[in-house]
Amino acid sequence: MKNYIKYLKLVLGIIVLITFEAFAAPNNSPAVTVGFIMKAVQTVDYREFNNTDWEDAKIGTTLKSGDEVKTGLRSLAIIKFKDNSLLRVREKSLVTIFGDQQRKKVDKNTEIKSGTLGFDVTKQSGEEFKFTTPTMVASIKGTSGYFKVIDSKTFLFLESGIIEIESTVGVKEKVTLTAGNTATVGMDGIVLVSKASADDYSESEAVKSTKTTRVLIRTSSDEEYILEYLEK
Amino acid sequence: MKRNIESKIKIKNILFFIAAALIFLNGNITAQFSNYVSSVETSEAIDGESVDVTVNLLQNANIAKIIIAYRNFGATEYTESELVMTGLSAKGFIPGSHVKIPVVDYFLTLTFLDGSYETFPEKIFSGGLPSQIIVKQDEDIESGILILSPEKNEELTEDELLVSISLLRSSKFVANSATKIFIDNNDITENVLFADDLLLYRAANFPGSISPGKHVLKVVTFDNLGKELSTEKIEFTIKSTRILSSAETVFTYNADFRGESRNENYNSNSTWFNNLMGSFIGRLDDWKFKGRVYVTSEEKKYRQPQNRYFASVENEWLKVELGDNFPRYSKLILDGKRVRGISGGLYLGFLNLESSYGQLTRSIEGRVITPLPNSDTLGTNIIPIDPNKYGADLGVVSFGKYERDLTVIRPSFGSGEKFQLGFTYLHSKDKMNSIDIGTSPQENLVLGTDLMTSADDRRIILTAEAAINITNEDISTGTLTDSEIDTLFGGQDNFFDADPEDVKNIKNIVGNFITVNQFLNPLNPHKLSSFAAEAALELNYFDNSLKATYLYRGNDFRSFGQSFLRNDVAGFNIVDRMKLIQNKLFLSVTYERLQDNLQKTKISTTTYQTLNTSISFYPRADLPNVTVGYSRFENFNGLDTRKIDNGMYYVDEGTDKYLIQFSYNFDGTIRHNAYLSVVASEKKDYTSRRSDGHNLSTSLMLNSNWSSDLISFFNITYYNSDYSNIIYRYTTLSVGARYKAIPNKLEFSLNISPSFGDLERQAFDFLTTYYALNNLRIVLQARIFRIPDSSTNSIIGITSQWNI
Repeated sequence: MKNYIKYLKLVLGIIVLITFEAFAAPNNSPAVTVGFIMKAVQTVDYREFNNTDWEDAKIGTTLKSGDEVKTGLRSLAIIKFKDNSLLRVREKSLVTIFGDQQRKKVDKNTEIKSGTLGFDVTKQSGEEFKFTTPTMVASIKGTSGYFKVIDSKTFLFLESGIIEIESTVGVKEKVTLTAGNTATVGMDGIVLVSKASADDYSESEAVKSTKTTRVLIRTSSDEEYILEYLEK
Repeated sequence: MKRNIESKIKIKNILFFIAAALIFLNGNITAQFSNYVSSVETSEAIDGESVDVTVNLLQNANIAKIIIAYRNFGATEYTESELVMTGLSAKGFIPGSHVKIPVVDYFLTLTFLDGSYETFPEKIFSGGLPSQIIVKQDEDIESGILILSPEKNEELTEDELLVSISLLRSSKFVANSATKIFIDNNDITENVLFADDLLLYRAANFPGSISPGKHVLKVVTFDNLGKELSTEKIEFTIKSTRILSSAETVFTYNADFRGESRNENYNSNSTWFNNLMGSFIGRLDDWKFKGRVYVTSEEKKYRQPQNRYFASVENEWLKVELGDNFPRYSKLILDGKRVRGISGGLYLGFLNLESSYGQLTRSIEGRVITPLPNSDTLGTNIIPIDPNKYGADLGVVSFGKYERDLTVIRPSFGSGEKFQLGFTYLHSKDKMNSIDIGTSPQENLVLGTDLMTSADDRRIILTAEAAINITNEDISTGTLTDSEIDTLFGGQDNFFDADPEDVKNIKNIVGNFITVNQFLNPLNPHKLSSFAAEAALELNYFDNSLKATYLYRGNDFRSFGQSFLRNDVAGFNIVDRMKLIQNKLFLSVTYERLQDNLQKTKISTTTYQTLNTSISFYPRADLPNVTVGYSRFENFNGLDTRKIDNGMYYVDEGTDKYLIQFSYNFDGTIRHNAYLSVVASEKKDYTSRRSDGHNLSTSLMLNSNWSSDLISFFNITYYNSDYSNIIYRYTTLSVGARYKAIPNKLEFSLNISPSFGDLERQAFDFLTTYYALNNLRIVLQARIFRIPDSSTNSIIGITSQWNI
């Protein structure tokens, strides 16, 4: 009988714990889907929020708030958001996607830890679209361009639209960047704005390029593999 | 008093037919009746997007060509283009620039081999009403469904296809999990991943599920009660992939072949028609290859070409097209007319060069009807003929048609996104030695320029174009010498109203480009009679589109590359279109004022004024869409009617036109799509001719979806016109159904369509479609067309279509 009572106490205890956990869990509720992998060429991995293991990212892999995406050598990931905004994550890059949805509005933030990222952001109506790098935060309303983050220095080229940028280190400057200009922010927080050069435009085109070549490899045992690589 | 009674009767008539239509709410109205046109099918008309038009013919034996004329609601001038005839159908499209809410007016002109013509609907040029296509607003805005991929008209392989749909912007009433996804009417929803308001489907996970070719992706949203809320559709193409070798670039292609054989029995004459058609699209890297061939037993020496051949290769900066082509340059110079030859373009952005060279019409030899030996009879169709061949010096002839060649060159500067300045040169000439029996070979030279510039992300757009032409109405005598010019223009008899020195100057300037003689027109270019120009400013702000246009077209302006322009007219046109209440309410107001007699070649100047207004309401809820329109047309030339001679030229008339349309998708026990349209007009002629008139066209249509395999169609149309006491009244009923007996294998369609009243006709159509393979379709068609107390005609045909 005592055993039954012990068992009952144990079950009740577990129920109470689960119930407590359930009521205390809002901060851990499943994150909303923010976007998905539209294209993955060569080595593209993703890691879910709070997970330690990296997994292969495939076309159609959904991304929730807090998920990370990284690309390998000569690799490319295209991420599409629910509002049709698009990111091109170029080779050797690491980004984290954040999103907070309230009814029909989603505030998005993409943290670029390293690498190069092209963006094509649709017009944001009452929503936020931010990019965060180790040295700056950029707020976007609907523009295109690309970021490059190397050794804690951020380079931004703006092809169209306007971006509000703010350095988050050092002197913490605020600058409004207009189309056709570039901004460079180092660890000192100084925002250096200059007119985009022909090389910047040329690199912008290269960042946009997602053309690939596909090669069919047939083995002696008649197995087929498709190898897809980015064209130079 | 009499007018009041007439008005009351008219209103009672309208109410009666609306009531009758509503009582028959399982019914529908067809269009007008024709001995040649069976029906006109149009693709769904979305504001700003082009509309495909297919004219189904009852017979095509005597038809030389079919022209479609279309205009926005509110425009007075129609734009015309020739349809491509392929067997028992003729196809073309209305460009998106002419597709505006609420409706597009259109009619067809069928020209026959003997030169006569008729319109569809009938009697357009004597007050008849054109047909209308209802234009819907952009579903992107209305439905809130965002199709993220594939893109519209994208071409990709099956393993590249990722269907991604976002419901982020859709209505709060949408139940995301109830959304259905279709590819070509096949429900693929069970294979779709639902991630909150993001829906994903990857074709590579279901290999072989989508065959190569064109496909339609359809997304339908529902509310929690299962009521359909909105639909979004796009087309895309799946390419079949062929690996040429492990190291080569992939070449993808799609090809269609179609063969048709049919027998027409018309007025006891039995004729067989056979057609073959093939089309090809291929892609290699950036290069796109296209080819089309249409070969028909209708190809005859005595008519313009019916066969069609076309091949092209293009990439982003180069395009070369061979065969039958419809090049588009300036609207004033060459715009959509068939040219058999070569066209090409080099597009570098800052500098572009486009050119076309080929045949506008091919030669058709004339014939001697009656030789007239030893006769000196005069007549417009009596000419000298070869006595060795015909045994007479003169003969009554039927004139042939010269081969007419054309050359166009257009260099332009700027990509056209924000700026483009272009210059166009067109030269066209009849080949005199192409036929023996012909009259007045002609030549035409046109020079033009066009400009487009935009600002503030194309919210401000300025366009302008101008052209001047010179035409020789008869080049058979060749270019005049200076002494001949002095004789003809400076002699005592003074045959022609022009200064000989002016003519010599013209000869020095344009003599290297065009034959200069007494038939050159105009001889006084400084009067601007051969000048045409148009300028428009468009402002797009706050969901309001305002466009003001000024146009001028001289009395003698003529381009052989553009046969459809209205000449001798100048004036302005202002159009304002507003979108209100989150794109639920559309207001449209147009005012146009044009005047003719620009070169004082007429006894008086007529002013044409048009006011068009319309309100369209798209509630998006479970209510009908409604459009109400009113138009007023006034023509007045202000002649003094007290002068006796002026009476016959006096113009003073006004026409009021009213339009009411309802379209409604509703659920009874099954799903129905209903449409009701009432168009009425009344013309008042205030001159002594009193050619007053009125007409009324009422249409009601109902499509009922009994199951996924059975759809029924029901139409009823009533048409009543009375012009100058000529009354024309008829009713057409049309009942039909389409039934999939074996899904994806066998399908039947049946339609019965009798007409009563002043038009008595009965038509019966039966169609069987059998899918022998996924990519092989065989269609058997039977049509019986009966005119009571006159004839019973039939068409039986078989068509096969094979897609690779």
